[in-house]
Amino acid sequence: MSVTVLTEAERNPRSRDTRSRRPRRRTSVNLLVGGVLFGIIAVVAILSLVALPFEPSDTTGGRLQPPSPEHWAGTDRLGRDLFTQLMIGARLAMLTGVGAVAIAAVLGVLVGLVAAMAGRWIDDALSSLLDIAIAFPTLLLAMLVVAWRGASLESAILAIGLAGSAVIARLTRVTATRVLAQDFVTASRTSGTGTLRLIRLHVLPNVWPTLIVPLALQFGGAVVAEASLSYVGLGSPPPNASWGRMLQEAQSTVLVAPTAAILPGLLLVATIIGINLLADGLRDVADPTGRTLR
Amino acid sequence: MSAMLEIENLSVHLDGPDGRRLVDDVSFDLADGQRLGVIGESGSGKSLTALAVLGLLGHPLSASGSIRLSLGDGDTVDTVSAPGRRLDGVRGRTVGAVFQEPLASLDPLMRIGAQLAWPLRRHRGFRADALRRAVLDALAEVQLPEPERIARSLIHEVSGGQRQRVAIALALAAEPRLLIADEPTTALDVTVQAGVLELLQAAVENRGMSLVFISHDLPVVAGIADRVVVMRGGRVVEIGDTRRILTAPREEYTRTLVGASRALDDLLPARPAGSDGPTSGGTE
Amino acid sequence: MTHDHDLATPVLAARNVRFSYGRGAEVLHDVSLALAPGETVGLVGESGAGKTSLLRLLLGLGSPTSGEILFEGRPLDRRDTRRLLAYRRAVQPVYQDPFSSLDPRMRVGDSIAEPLRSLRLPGGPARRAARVAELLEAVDLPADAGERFPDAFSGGQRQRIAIARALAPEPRVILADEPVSALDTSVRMQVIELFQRLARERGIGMLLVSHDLTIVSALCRRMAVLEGGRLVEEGNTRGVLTDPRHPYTRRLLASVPRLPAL
Repeated sequence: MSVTVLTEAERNPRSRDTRSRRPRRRTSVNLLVGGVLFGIIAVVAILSLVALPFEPSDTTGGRLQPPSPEHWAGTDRLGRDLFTQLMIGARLAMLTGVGAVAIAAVLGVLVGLVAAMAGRWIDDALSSLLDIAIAFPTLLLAMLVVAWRGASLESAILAIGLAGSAVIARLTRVTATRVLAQDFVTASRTSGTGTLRLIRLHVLPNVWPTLIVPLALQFGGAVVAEASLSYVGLGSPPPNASWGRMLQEAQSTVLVAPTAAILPGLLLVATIIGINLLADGLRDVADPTGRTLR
Repeated sequence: MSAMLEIENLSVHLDGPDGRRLVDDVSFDLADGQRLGVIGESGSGKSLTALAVLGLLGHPLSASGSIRLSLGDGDTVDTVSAPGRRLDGVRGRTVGAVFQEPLASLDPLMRIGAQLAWPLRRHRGFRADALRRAVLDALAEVQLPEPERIARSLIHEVSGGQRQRVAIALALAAEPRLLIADEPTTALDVTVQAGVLELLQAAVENRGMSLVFISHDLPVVAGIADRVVVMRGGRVVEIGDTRRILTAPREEYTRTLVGASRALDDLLPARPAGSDGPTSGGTE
Repeated sequence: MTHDHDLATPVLAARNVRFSYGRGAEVLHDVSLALAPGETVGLVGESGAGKTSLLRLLLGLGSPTSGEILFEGRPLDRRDTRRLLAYRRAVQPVYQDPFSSLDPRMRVGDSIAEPLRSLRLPGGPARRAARVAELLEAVDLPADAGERFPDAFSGGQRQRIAIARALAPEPRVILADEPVSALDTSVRMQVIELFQRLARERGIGMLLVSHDLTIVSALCRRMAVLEGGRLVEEGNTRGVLTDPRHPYTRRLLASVPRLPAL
């Protein structure tokens, strides 16, 4: 028998061209602005490893000088070059973000996958644990870690990463559970695909797009959290001070030398806006056709 | 015969800069007491047309054109332009609706009896004992066994077929003049489908209602409708009497559709004479 | 294939299978069903009849509470990895929902090639690519389809891709769960014809699970009717459809909406 065929694409209501044209255009702007802002900070951070205008502990600049051709951002109350400190601050911010996000991602995805794939008991136990972990304030956790390991940048990163991993774990668990229920996973299993391969082949590629944005937001959150910790004295000690510590130190002299307070604040804001815009842009790059699982 | 429903140049489009038309310049009408089938495959716009008739399109969808519903007293209402308050009185009273997924149209936390009581009370003025009897009668009319028990149940406590029967009872409660059934049996098993179709047919006949029956399944539509509208990609392809559409389709697309249905139908042995029609389905 | 397959031994069989989920009620009561090499069998029943449970057991996704699943005449032992591999190659699934059966983030060609790798079939990337092209052709899809992602395809096309994937390891049996119910009428017939051709040209056996008597009638020489976890009728498809014995089968047949005769 012959049955004439309609072109199937015509009948497909979810064909590729029918969506995401508008979002894609907005995306490129987000990506560009976010990339430039974030890129500048990142380049400064890297430069700080190679060369600094002054030694961080060089106090020869005179106290609380305004910006000048020699000291681009002025000096602090001990006569140290502020621009140098801002560069070091950028490096610390990047370190914090990358470190905390890496911890959150690795630990969170691991725990989330175990919860999604192991049996009911383990899942229930892990889920209750995650509920507690999510409810636990980051700052409190940070104090515990500091009490355990002493105040340092590493302690701050560890604390922030641990706090973030609970959220990532729960997100991973939810998404992975949904992916595992799909027929293509069953089909893959009936082809003898082992658990690890299944995770690499099907679960992670379908889970990670949902994690990009939360992780990027956590990057921003981590930078802010570290600034707060430094502000209350739980971050890395001077002269390798983070922006948070600089803000705290500039507080008492803000009327005399406002640049010392304004600049680290501005950089903090720029970093966070940059990473958030970048996160938005990245999501669409990672998922150009909205190929995310329904 | 007067018109129950007149759709003129109905278009439904997405709001915003995209503005794609999902229903494009659709016109058809339905005489009083007529049973009209709307057939189309996924993306044909058939369900959106139904929602437009009910005035239930919301953001991000808007309609243009006109849909005149007869209120029975010589008056009509245009469900495209009428304000929401006016439509509240029209839905249920003038036009009732049954959808594919009964769970979506019934309140999961309200006892079935209480849900049914509401339209019976509001539109037909039953109170107290009379209301209780009317609820049980309504459940009995859709051939639900043990109406008393069903009335006390929550919707997830009864089977899929029974849910759809409850949804039909609810749609019929206010004695609408027009019933819109959008894929009402698609989610059901065949034996259950047969029972629900029979019930719909009987209800429409007994009450002299008009019916718009929307489906992707040509044999189902052919069994219940006098006239068929074929839709595709948001447009009307062809309108005609059921028999004519089946035997002498004019448009290429209709021929394809009928041909495919016929090919599928031919896969089963011809139904032996005298044994046609399903045995009444009460067991589900 | 180099193996000699005994023509008399069923490729796949369920013997006195009972099954329940956890401590729940039993969903399969003493079901026995055998699939001879190249045979096409339809398993008909409505929701809750136990079709999907039986299919899962036959696919090795669970173990019967009692009774056995036999592959080539012998029960499956999960520790016998070599035999398990042979079983996985020989028995391939096709699912109902074409939107869930393909990984949205995997190129179609990689999806089709996946069983070739997982089942450790010989051949490097070049040979796999050639095989993918061959499979795409077998299901009437253009050769460049392999480069694209599933979202570029309609439901019917996706179902063809899923069929190509199932064909990849040259299975002896395809277990298909409602393979056309999610498709539009006009596409349904094409997919049915594709199955017909595969059964005819490649001699692949098929167990088709469906509530739809039409597709069973088109594709299966033999059919079995499952009601409430029990096989109530079994026999030659023509025979059962023209002269159903069990009242449930009769009711099922009478319930199919038909076009009025011309």
